[in-house]
Amino acid sequence: MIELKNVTKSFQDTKALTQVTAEIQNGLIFGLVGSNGAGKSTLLRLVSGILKPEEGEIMLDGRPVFEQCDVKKQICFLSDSAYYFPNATPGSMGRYYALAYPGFDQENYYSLLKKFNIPEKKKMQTFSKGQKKQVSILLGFCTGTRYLLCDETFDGLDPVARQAVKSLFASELLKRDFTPIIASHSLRELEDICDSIGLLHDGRLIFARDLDSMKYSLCKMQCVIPDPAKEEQLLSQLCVLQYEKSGSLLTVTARGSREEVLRCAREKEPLFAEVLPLSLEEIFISETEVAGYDIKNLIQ
Amino acid sequence: MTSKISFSKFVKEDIRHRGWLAVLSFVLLLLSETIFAMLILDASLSHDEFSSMTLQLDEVRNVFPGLLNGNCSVALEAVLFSMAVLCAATGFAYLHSTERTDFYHSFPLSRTQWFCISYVGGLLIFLVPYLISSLLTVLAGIHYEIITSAVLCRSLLAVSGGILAFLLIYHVAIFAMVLTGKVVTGVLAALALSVYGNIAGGVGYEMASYFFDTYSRQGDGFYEKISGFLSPFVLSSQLIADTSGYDNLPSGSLIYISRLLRSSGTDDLIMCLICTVIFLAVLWSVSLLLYKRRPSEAAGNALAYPKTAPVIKVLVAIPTALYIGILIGSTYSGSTKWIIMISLLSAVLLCGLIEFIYHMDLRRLSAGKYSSLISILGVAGILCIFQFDLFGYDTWLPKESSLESMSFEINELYSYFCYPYSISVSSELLKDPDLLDGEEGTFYDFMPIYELAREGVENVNSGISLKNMYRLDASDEYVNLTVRYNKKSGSPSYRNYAVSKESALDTLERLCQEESYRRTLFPVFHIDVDEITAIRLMDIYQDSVLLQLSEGQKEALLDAYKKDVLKVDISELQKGVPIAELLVELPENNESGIYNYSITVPNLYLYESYENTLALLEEYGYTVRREINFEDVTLMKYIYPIEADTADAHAASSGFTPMEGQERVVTDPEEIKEFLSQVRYSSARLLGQSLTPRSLEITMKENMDSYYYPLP
Repeated sequence: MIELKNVTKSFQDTKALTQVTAEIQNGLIFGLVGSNGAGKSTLLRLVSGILKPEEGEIMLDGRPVFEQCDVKKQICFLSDSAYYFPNATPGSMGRYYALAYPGFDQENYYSLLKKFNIPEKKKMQTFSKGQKKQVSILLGFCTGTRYLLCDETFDGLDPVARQAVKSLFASELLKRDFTPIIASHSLRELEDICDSIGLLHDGRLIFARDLDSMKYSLCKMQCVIPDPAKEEQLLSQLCVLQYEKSGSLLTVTARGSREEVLRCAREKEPLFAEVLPLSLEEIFISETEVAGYDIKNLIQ
Repeated sequence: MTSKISFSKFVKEDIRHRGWLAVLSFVLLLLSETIFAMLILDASLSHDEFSSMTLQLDEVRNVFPGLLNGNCSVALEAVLFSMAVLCAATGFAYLHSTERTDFYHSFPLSRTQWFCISYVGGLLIFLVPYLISSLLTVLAGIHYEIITSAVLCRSLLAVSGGILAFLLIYHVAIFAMVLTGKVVTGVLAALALSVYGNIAGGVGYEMASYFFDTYSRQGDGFYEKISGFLSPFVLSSQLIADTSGYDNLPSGSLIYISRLLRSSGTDDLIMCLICTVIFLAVLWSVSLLLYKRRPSEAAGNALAYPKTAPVIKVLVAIPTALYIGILIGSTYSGSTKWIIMISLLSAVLLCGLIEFIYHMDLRRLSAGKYSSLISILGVAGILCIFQFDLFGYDTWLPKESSLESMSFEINELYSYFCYPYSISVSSELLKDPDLLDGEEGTFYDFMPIYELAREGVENVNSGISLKNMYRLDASDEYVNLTVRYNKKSGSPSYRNYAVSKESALDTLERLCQEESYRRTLFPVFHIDVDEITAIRLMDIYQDSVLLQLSEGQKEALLDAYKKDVLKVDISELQKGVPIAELLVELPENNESGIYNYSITVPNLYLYESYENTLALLEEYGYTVRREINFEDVTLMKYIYPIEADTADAHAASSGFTPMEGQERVVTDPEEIKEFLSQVRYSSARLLGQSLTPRSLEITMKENMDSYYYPLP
């Protein structure tokens, strides 16, 4: 388990992370979402031991990470912009990773390269961004580490490769004790594969929860309430994250289970009331809006 | 922990990734060391005209170790230093890239391990090709039959010196790379750190020489003693020189190779090695410490530790501004006002430049106001101390009771006296009198010198100093005096003064009452009679006549001359006029015998009072001619004085207004006779000759040669 306790990190005058506290359970895929500059990459770099926190502590299975080689052997960090040596080939990069990670599965690596149709001996400087990303992911998978920290993993991958990578995550989870942490803007991708989600905004962790329970605790509802006073009453009664009124149609995103929200609406004698499915993207927008990050302000 | 095997594999990988550098290293070292050495050996040993091959081999053997470490090859030295910077820059450049830092530091290796991998990788990239090149060079030496066991030992020492010199620059460059966040600033920092100690340490001494009227560079001052150990670049150069061990190089032969060598002594080798070890250990430890504490996010910033930025700015700006001020201000003007102005201007510009390097943003040139202010005020403060002599350097005169002894020298004496060492290519053969630092010039009863020094200090207070004495109307009334105060506390102090010729002559007269001092002062006592190959006599006719003398006669003549010198009234040497001079020929490099060079020691002047010498010359059949006969003159030209005021006087007397430097052929026999009566052999004076603006050019009948004669 990865534990973060009051982790704070600044870059000169900029606070990248402020008092972040979270627990990431083993055996689950953890998705890290957040607006640009929210601190996702910084958090991953802290967890992987690249950066040292100014305050707080980061523990991996009860042991600190920074400058602890034994602990870092359990972690592989895949950067957003992966570095490869000049004139490197997928084969040579595999050999280099094998030096650092004793558990690197070279056989599996070469087999995966073939499956992904990546030439083992071709210079990587001729590769496309997506191919480089694929090599990075394959290198990460084959290190055999318990924790795989992926920064913007799905960026640049074509739909087939994305699906293949998702399948790899799934099969690795079945095979061994494996905990991927994926930071991404692609909320739909995360929604598909993540078990739990952490939402970072402006250096602060807004929440870190199981995706199902999160979806259960938020509800999006559409209704038409003829009496404006009752409509006002409903909005004040609910813990509204976001609402929109189009004509007489009121669309509300609020905290609470769908039963609770629907019951409140029906008490106001609506002409029509129904619960809509809530996507992760909507949850993200609603939560960040509550935290002061209003997407509408950006558009205006 | 990563096992030892994987550490070596990581080093191997590091070298593999820097394969181009390894190839470059090998090629450059092969060219600048092995090929260059072979060229030199071939050129040196294929000259058939040398009489003794054995001696020639000895010369090459002495030079050979210098070919292995750059002491005799500027190219090799440049390669050593460039490779050190390149190995460090390529090994630690990843710290200046976020991507690469993240890549390396995400692996389960400690920072100490990463540091050691890059360090060892860079070292091996240089070391292996260097050792191979050195081995090939030694094999070439064996081929040319110059390698003996002694040469081999010295070669090993030289190669060790080369490695240590590389390590010094390598460590500095690593330190610079760890300290900074950009490759460009890293390389700049490496260059600056390599010489910073000497610039910062030397600037004070340079300023003293420009601002203080009495400053003297004589002697081994504190700075001179430590200057070789202040910065890695200078220390490594010294290390290269000291470990090549060419001290026994016989002079004279293979001069063109010898000139490649720099002057240095192996006496400093131990001190050099101690300083090198300290430098290496400190730089390595500090670099590792900084590396371990280095924030990964420092990549891309000018400095890895932004808090050090103002401190570094002040430390760089102050000495550099002063140094630039001295360099430019003194080049085009002797006045200190330009040094002051350029130093202050440089301080302002440097503060802006450093801020630009920090931020790479023109809008932030004026950032760091406090550090800029401290830098400019620091420069101004130091300039004030020197300009107004706030510590009383120029007016300092130690108490008599604090002195153990004193010594002095008067610069003008060296125009009058000519010592064999000063004209010998090999100064080792003939000993010079060290009037200032040698025991022979030291006076424990120093009151006459002290009084002279006191006059010098009073002159400084009156505005008469060495720097402005030549601009004074009565400039020829002063001489340049250097005094060494030997304090009871041990450390000597040197000062330069302008003192009157009269006082200097008086002091010399008093001191020359001691026979031992005369023996030190007069060059004739520094000539070994047995070495003399010939003696010539030159009188007013200025044709040097070879004296046909036996060995015994030569010795007798020199003895007579010594007797005359020992009893001559010193004031005659200043107030009298020489009537002739003896010129003594000595062999140069007589020990090796390869060349038959000879040197001539002139200026053994003869005066009318030198009765013993003149009598002996008469006895040997050589008469000193005091005047030029009218009949011996074919042509006489009168050369007008250059000074305008003197020309005016002549114009008034002759009714002819000559142009500056014009000459006139003298045709009137009476006038010729009149001029001939004024002609003297030489206007040489012990403390410098008076200006003689008028002169004659006389062409003699005998040899039709023309000679110039100053007129009183």
